[in-house]
Amino acid sequence: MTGRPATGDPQARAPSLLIVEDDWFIATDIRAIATEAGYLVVAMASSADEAVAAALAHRPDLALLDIRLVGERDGIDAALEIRRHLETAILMVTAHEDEALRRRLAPAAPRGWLLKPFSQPQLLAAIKAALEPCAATP
Amino acid sequence: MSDPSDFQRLFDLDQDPAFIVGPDGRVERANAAARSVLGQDPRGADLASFVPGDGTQLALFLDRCSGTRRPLPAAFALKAADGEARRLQWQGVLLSPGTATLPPRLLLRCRRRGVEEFSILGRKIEELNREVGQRRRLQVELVEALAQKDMLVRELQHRVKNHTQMLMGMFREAGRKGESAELERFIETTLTRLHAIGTAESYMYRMLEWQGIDARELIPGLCQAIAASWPEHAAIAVAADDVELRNDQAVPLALILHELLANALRHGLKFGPGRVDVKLQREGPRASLTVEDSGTGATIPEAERAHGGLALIRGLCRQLGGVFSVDRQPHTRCIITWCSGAEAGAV
Repeated sequence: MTGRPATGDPQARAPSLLIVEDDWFIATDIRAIATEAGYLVVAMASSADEAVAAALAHRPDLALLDIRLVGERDGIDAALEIRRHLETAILMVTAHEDEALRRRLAPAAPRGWLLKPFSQPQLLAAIKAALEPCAATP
Repeated sequence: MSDPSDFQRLFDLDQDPAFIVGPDGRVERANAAARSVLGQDPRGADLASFVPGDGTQLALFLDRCSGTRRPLPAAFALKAADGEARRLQWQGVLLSPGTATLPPRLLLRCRRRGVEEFSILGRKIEELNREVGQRRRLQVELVEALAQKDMLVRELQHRVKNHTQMLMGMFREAGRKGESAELERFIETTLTRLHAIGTAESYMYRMLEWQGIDARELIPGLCQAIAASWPEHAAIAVAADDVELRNDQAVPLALILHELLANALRHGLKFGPGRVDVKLQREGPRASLTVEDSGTGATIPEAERAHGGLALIRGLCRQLGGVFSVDRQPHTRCIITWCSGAEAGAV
């Protein structure tokens, strides 16, 4: 894992997040909720290519990915490619859910699958659960 | 079989047209089937006059048959009485070699039945092929139409969910400005109501049962989603009977449940942790939803009664064609009853 867990230790930094979402309103809302909760949003991306480039540049602890993105490739393509290079945890935040998508994503070993529409507590609970195996929450 | 009439009777038993002819094609005998096809007795006539063409091919065939006792095949048409030339399969064989006084005789037999039956069978097969082809094309069109419908439904799902999320994001953004406590409260209430609507919508699409929704899945799912939106968690116990809801009942019921749970969590359990029981019961055509908290039953402010959640509950209850009642002793217990599923239309 690239990020260090945030603990009571003042030297530890907050877990870093990459938000991959093509809808600007939703992306900024997720960023605001996460930032208010103390997470460090290191980048936002609206396409798979941007997502992979941002992940390689910032090595976030967690990537929150929508499935539908701008461009040819979707969020699952992005998640699979990110996981080929990094240990970044994957949390899908999407309106889609079916067995075929879950099977496609399986090699990326996602830590969660949050369905839209979600509430603020549900988003924070999903982020916390996705980071739990390796890091404490802020 | 020295009697020629015995031979003719035997000859007539054959269902296929047959001729006994000389090597020159002169007809000595024709059986009943041949006479029936030709519409006349061709005895003494030249067989070539009943076969379309210049007779060359027939003459060659007769010549070949004259030299063998093994049946030889051929295909000639025969001019029938109705004027139609019927394509037949022929077999020719030397019946008796010639003598000093008698010329050789040939037996020619036409396999009418086989050819015609094959022809009918062929036509039937062609018709069946055409029908199978049409059905396959129809099936392909139906599969394509279903796939397109599935794609449209998925697209609709995606848009509804995303737009609900987008609206929630916009309200949250407005709430972040923190202009007043009243505005924050309004936004928070709107957000949780929108979330309840979105959750009900997602259950409707998940089930893809356009005629009805199984409340046994919807109610626990809604309770879970609503409870997760409240920071002050309370134990919520859900028991749901098998109740079918129409699609147009799901959203009002989700909002009612949201308001009842919100009241229970906000007011009923105001003075300490407790438990909320949610029961969905079916009694014949009617269904009832009960939300009961274990709290001390704090009074809901008058303004909220008139314009807030309770007013919403009463309005939505009317929309469902239901009845709303509240019992406050010893704990607050709210009950709505309505006609579920298809019976609701009678209300």
